Amino acid sequence: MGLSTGWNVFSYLIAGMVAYGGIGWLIGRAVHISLLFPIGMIVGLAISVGYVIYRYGRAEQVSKTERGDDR
Amino acid sequence: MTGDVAVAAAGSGGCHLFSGCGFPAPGLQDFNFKPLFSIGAFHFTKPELVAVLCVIIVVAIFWASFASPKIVPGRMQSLGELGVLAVRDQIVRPALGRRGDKYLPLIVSMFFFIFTMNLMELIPVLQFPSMSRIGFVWPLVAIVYILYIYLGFKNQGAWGYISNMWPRGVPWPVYIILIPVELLRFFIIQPFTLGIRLFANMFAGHLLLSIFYIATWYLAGFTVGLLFAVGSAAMVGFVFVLELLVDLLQAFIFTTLTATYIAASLEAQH
Repeated sequence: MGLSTGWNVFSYLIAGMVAYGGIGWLIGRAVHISLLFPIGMIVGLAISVGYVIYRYGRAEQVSKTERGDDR
Repeated sequence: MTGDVAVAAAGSGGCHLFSGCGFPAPGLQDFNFKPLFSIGAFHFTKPELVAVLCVIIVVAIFWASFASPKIVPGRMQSLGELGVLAVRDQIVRPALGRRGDKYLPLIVSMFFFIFTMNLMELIPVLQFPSMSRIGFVWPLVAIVYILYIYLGFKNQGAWGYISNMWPRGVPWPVYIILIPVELLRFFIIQPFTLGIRLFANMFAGHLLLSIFYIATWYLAGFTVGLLFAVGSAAMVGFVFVLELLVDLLQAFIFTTLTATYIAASLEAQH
């Protein structure tokens, strides 16, 4: 489903930024380097983008039969 | 209370352009209501009244349609069947196929409840979408998410469900990198976006309608403002039609995502 894939991709992008931004913020707070927060967010975004390409970039070839064709 | 702002303005002789009072812009205060009545610490407010009304309307329509079904359907039964079949063919079947019919009662109820709740922002006197109070949205998200996780565990087993979340055939360090992203997405971001989407659309829609309703009233008078009042009134009509579409679309999106979540739980997603 295109709609659900779109929202999944959106969720991954946000989750990557929040997860690694959070980790960066925590480490940055511990070592007093505030720059780690934005760096974490960018790293998280990069991971998310890579994962989205890996997971959904080839989705068309994997699922040849659409669900719901049996109606 | 948007309606109340306009009514108060009308009652006090009108808060119009050049009458010395500023534009009574709608804001967060328009989403807080005085209790209609209280039982102890429980306060019954307008959004709750709207929600109860919506439940009664949806139950009454489907009761009238299907209480005594006939082979040759009457007018009400035809209407009810039209609604159920529309949800089945447009939402349930594309995501789940025939096995989705088991979940049809849940999704039909959810669709028509959300749609009716949303429509209440356009009904005169009521004029409030209860879904613009986020407390009404989270229970729906909880129902969907608990069912989503329960079905996943039931159909794929606890370990199978968790292991199916991860991509196959990648080196193990990638799993460590992906764990925070995947956990956060699954438990926080995905349910959050499901709820926020419905809430924010209704919230924004109500504000937009309020702004143009109040602006029309504020600008109306025997001044140059009358010209702008006409424009604002036209915008009320435009936003009204737009919101009609948004109301339907948000109910559709919420239930479509519910159906795809159920589909993802029934079979492994890679």
